[in-house]
Amino acid sequence: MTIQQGAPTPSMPTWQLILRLIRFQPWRFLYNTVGYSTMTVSWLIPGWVSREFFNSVSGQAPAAYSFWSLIILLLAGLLIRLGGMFGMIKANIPFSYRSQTLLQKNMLGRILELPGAAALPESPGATISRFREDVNELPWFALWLNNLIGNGLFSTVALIIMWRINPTMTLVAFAPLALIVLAANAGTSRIEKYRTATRVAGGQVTSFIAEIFGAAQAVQVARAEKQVIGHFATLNEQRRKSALLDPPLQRAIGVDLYPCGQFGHRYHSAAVGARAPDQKFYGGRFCALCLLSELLH
Amino acid sequence: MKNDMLQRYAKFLVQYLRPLKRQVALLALLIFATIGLQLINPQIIRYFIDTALAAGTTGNQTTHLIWAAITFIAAALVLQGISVVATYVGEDIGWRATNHLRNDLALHCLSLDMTFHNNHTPGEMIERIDGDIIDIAVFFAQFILRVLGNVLLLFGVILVLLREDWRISSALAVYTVISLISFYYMRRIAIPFWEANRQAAADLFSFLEEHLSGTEDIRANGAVNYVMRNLFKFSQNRLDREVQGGDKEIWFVGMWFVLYTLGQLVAFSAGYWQFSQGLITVGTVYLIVYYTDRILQPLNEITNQFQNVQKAAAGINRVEALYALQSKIQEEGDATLPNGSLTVGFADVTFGYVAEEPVLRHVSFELPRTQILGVLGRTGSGKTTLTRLLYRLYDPTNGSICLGAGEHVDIRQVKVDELRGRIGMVTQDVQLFRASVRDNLTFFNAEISDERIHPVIDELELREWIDRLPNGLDTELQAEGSSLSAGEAQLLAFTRVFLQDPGLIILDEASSRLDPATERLIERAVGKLLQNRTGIIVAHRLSTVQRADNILILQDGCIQEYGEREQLANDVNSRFYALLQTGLEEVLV
Repeated sequence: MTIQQGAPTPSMPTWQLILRLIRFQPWRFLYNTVGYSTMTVSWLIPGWVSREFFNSVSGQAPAAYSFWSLIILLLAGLLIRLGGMFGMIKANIPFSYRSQTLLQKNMLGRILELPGAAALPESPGATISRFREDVNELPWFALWLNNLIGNGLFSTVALIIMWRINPTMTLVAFAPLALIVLAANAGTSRIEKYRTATRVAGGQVTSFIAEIFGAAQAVQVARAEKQVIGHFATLNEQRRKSALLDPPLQRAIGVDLYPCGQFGHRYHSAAVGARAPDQKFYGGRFCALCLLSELLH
Repeated sequence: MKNDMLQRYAKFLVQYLRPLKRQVALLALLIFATIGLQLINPQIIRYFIDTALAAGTTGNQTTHLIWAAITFIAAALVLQGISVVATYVGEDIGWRATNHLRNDLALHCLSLDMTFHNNHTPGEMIERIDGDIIDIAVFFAQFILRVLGNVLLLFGVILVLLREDWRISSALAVYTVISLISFYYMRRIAIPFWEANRQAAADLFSFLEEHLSGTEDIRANGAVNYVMRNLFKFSQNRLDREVQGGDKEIWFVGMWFVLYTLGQLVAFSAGYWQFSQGLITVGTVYLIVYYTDRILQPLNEITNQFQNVQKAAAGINRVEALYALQSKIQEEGDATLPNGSLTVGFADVTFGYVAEEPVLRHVSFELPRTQILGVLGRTGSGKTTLTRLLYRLYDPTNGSICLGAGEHVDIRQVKVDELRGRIGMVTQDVQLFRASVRDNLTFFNAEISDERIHPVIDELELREWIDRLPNGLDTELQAEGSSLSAGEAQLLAFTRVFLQDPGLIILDEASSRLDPATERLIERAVGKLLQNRTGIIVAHRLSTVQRADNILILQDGCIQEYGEREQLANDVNSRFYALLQTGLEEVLV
């Protein structure tokens, strides 16, 4: 994705755009919700089977189920999971690509309506990146909301089960996770800063490639090939430095593992994609909701 | 993968990783450390469980438990720390190696002849120099170490379990082999679909790109409906491919779920059976279940890495295809050109960008040193092409071009670098970069000192303009030089040529009108530039034409008239005379 200066900012907020995409194919979206949630919640079954299994081998608790009924439960869980996954994939591909075509159709239609000079705010190359990356970002974000719903359900059920087993234990398990979520949120703004820097540095690299190859003749005439590539190397080096810290930092605070941290990034990406005015996002608002979904991850 | 391909990829890896030996060694160390910890951690839990259960029967074991818990948490933290550092080092290697590759590739492509550049748009070059190489980064950073690491992890798990019970260990080994084969097989049948997806997407976007560049034509021809229909056609095709790809994914993910459950079944059954025989403790049952649970992860990672290699392979193939291209402009000799101003000789030169359509036909003329030639002609008559041949941006199809002082040297016998160094050129549209004014003046040549730049600026009367800039020479120009007027850009280009101090100047005069003050500034600068130098001016203004000693008029690639300016201007039968009467602009622009 590229950040362009001087491009007009549309007035529709991102969430409204997302909502409209969902309303365009509500049934497919719903199938996806159900499919993903079923698949996710069914992962509780193997965990539960494990617990029953260890209960019965250790003799700590009365064995309520025989070995064979546990095996059957395991297989039943597998079948449910397969069904959920089937529904999820069958729904999300048409949802995403039909939404993309809708957006592309509207964008192209608008461009063809406008008088020539006004139609493209950027070069055709940059415009293509809108048709490709930005359009791709939006429906996948909408679908990703289903992950939040599914994980939330999973966490709620898990929390209830855990609470009924042992409330104190549940709280003890909850505390370090809450700390991790807080750390992730504290790190989010820093990561966002690195990301923006990386995107800017990356934009400099690609637009310099376009500049030097657009000016190939002038560069050759001036015998400046080596010097120009020297400058290119400097830009590459800048990008290396800013891109370097993002993945390890994410790994360190576990943003890549925890949906809450991801929400901020995903929303940010979608907002940049939509060129919406509300590009700033504060992950904290969603923390309460996310704490739940972090629980058993 | 064929053998020679593997060799090529290996050569690639060695070439770009050799300078990073130390980082690679460090990464190897870190990855192996994480594997060791992953093997040790469940052992601690086993100890924890067994001690806790024993505590129920034999009394207080709290201190042992606390120590086990602390060790476990410490090991988990160390593991997390190491994997953070490993990610950092891996990223660093990937970026350094691919940046090195990007620079090499960009230099190679930039040095190719103009035919290459005419056939590849800057947009395409972004894709080939940046896009293709991004896929290769993973290959550089991770591939061998990750695959090797995960294979070792698998062996480690099986060996550790062998210590517990050979039957469980071999059951797990069989399970591993079955899983590996299934993963590999599933990926293989998925790849053709994946490539078809890429192609369908490429078709859609190249269709879009083509039509976004020509929106006016589409409206003018009433082709809007046609374009929309095609958008739907390409999108439908893409959707069909994606759905097919999705069906494959269902199989793949489904298989993953089945294998996972199969693993659990194996672990539970084996653990249950051994435990009920009284052969193992609960902690060991846990160990078996844990290891089995984790064994799919390295398996998945290994197949993932192989899929990345497929992507990288596509990238490497495209990079190598670029490297295989050779410039058509070949160095044939190492003759040198004399110092000072140069004579120019064209002998029966014929040239066409496409062989069948010559743009210049049988052009011959001689231009003595320090004299100035004004080239006139309509758009498309071959004026600019004539100047391009002098630089060997292209070679003539027939005939030869000579430069020299006393004796003439065929420019094909001169090193390209030397040749281009002795000719200075100012084109109509000046190419500026988004960089500092200094870098734009010196073309990023750091060896040109400010002490050399400032006198030139004074001489060209640019001092006032430079002083007006917020940071002087360090001021950053905006993209495409949008912060400069056309006149200022021209003056900047003059400065470039001055710094180069060539023996022959080619000036493709800007046809656009400038404000009178800038116009005068440019006129004076041209005068200084041409002092004691040979000059070829593609002229659009009467004032410039009047500088010329000789006039060459081109029509459809042939010389229509060539002679001394004063003589032609006084000859009422000459074409030049007629031009002067009607006014240059109307005829030539």
